[in-house]
Amino acid sequence: MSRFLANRLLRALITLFLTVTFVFIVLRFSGDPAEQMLSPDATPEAMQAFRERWGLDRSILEQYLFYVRNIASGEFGFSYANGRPVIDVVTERIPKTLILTGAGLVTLILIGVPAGIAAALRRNTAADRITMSLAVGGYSIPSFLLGLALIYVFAVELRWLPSSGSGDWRHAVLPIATYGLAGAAGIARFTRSAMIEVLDQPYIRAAKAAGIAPIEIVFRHALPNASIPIVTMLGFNVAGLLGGAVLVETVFAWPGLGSGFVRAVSQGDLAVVQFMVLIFTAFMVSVNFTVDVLYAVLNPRIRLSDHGAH
Amino acid sequence: MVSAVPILEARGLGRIFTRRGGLFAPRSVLRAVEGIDLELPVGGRLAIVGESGCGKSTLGRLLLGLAAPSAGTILFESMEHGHRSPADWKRFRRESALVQQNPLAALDPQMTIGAQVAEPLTVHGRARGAAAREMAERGLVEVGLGPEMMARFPHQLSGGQRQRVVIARALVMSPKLVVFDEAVSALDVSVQAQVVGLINAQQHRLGLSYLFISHDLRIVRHVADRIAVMYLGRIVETGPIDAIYRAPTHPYTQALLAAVPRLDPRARRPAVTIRGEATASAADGPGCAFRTRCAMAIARCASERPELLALGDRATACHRAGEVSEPQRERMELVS
Amino acid sequence: MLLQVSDLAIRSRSGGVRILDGVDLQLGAGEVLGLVGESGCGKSMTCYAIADLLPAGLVRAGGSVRFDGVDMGSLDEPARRRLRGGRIAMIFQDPTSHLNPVHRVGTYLEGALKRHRGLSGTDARMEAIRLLERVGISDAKRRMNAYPHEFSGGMNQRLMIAHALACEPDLLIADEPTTALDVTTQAQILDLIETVRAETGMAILIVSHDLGVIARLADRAAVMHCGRIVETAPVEALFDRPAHPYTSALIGCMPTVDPDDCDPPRPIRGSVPSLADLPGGCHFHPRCDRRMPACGLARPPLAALADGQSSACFNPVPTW
Repeated sequence: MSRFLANRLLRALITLFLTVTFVFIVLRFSGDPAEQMLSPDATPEAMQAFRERWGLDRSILEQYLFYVRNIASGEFGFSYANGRPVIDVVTERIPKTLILTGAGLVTLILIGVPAGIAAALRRNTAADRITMSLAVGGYSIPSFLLGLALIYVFAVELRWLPSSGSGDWRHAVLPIATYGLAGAAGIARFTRSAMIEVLDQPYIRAAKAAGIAPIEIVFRHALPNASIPIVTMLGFNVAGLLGGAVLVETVFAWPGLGSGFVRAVSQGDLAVVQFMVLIFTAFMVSVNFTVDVLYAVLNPRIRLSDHGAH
Repeated sequence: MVSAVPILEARGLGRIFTRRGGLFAPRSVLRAVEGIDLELPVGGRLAIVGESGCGKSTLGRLLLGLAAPSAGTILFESMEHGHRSPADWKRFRRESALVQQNPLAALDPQMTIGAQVAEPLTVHGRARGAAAREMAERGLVEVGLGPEMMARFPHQLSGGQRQRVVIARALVMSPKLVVFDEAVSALDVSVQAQVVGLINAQQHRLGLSYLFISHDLRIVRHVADRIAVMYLGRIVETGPIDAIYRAPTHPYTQALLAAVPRLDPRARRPAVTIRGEATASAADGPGCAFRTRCAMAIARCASERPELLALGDRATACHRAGEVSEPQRERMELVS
Repeated sequence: MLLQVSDLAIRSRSGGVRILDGVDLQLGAGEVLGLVGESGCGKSMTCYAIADLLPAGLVRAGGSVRFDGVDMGSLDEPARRRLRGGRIAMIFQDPTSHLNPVHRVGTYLEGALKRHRGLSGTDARMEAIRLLERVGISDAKRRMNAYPHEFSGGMNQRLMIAHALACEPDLLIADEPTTALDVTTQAQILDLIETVRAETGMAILIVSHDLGVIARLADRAAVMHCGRIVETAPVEALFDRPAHPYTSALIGCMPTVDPDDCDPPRPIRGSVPSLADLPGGCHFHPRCDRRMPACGLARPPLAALADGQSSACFNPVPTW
């Protein structure tokens, strides 16, 4: 297990490193950073000072090392838009996004997994078909459209909840519901098929033959096996939540990383964009790492193999 | 009848599988097949038997050039596999065939039986169009299937019929060499007996030379003249099948034969049962791979690997070959 | 009678294909009954029907299963569940796929001990270790923490037998328990089954397509063909003087390793008919050498011959 963890951790670090390098290459190829980062009316002296400060007057290899060192020491520069340190601009948005995506993830698991299990147990009945039709519907609607629909119903028509902003918990309800419902649809479908496959396995028949109660068969014998692919799928969902944050946070004017990213791009605030890309990547990498670890925890065949991977 | 030059010959044949080492894991090596010498005379029928993981299927694939050996040479009609040009390989493919265990997997579900049996003919440019179809139809009749099978699809056939189709397809090119790999193992006994009869009839008709790979010691007697018993990649005993069944000299062969359930309810418990199971690691190191399970093992068995030593037309790889084990003597008394 | 199956019929829910057609079986306490036949003859389905494990697409179309005098159809589901794995244990072909891959060996055995014998904690653990040792798994203490995929097929079958023994059953249903195993492992497992039978006195219903396995283990055997029992007899009688032509043909096509038995296996002509398209009368008659005009018209009843042997044939093989 420790060998497996070490293996996966190393892979995660490699991915992160490659992303850092990729961002460097893209930024260097998209023009002179000095011209892009500084305002157009900056003096040549200021440009020169900027170049010296960031080492842009040196060879590309030196620049790269300089860039990596800056990142490693937490030097990300200042936002062009408001002059604040990039690190502050971005980090204050992180908890906002984590609240929404975290609560969204919990919601989609709490709705999707039980719905999928219930559908699998009532395979090919009316209840199964209705659940799955709803799931297909939820799956097909883009999340921002679902968000707009929720705003229309609960904020505009019913006036139960605010339509945008981030004052108190009531502001979070609709965006969380958007994430939860959109994601639950996919997870319900996936859980259903994973459970059906597991319920058809010979060891389930053997469990019935051993006189084990149906409820125990579902939760102690089938679900732990079905959860192995479900966790993998949830990993993709988390990635999807982060991608969706760009749209959903914009729709709800929620001051998180997603809406911040849209803003930084539209303002050409490259220092902020660069750091956000790194944050997103770090987030994805840690999600992948968590999924790998969970996968191994759930699946003894992976955990105990000599190589940790196959 | 049997010419002096064997149709197929293997010398020192070996195949190693290495498991890729991970970042923190060492590479591991599996000796699937090691140090195999064998000769198949023209018209010869050789059974290769052993339990799962003994390397018998790998051996079959090596001999047909479907896998590359890690060591040793293979000669077909005195030409070494290693020296074949692409044209030579093409000729070898025409003259050899493989019949595998699962006929449903070997057949294309989308193609008619007729088209599948005719396929090798067109691929190798032997015949085309109506001529190919006619040869395919004749091939099906040879294996006891009617011409009406030509237009059917694999799923419309029973397991036994499908296995016949696979055999017909293998034989339609009139090959000189066939490897049957567990070709009848998945069939019900009543159908298995039919297919065995069919293989014998075709062998007679075409003068086929073949290897019959099987885990089933009961069936190989009826399709082969000679047998080679494999244990963890090596041949431990070989010779004429009747002589070996009558008096096996290697303790593993003895145990294998004794383990086969008899049809006599009165002769119940086999006298020779070996403990444990084959573990690949037992094949590493200098000694005999079977020693860990062998009732007759002595110190020498752990330090020195027994060579496959010929005695007349048989050969055994055992330091104590020919000594009759205690349980074996009991069995003989029980039988007499 | 410990187990009495009467006129059991199973058909598919959709097409009405008959899987079992009037199956009668009796099994006394401590007796070993072998059920033999070719693939698709319904021998495994008979086991599933007895253990109340029919796959979703199949339904009981008639007949009864009585266990220890009680009609299992009259019991509610919790009561049937207490029987399953309690007084009736089952082991399967391909043991590895019948073991839950995420459960440890210890969990598997302790679960059974808790469920059916009320043992828990250290008691359950000690008993589980004892069971593993009893079925010949060495280093039992350490292996309690192992997972099934770390075991070979033979060891997993030993593990399933240990699990069956955990609840001290009266009946063990063994569905092709050695078919997926190598021949030396098969011999070890058959030895083990025989040993635990002698120790516990439990009855065994063993299903196999291999007459050799039946000869080795069973006291009495029933031969199945296309969903029906065609012959039942004490094993010695079955092999010495098979009465049904199908039994006789089945024995005739079994190859052996006996060097003095030089006859090649005698095939049965044709192929096993499909259950969806069975010939009328006796299902075997198109392949039978002894058929008479009546055979295609009416179903021959299972009629008693001498010495506990009965056969369903209008023209049985003369015993002498």
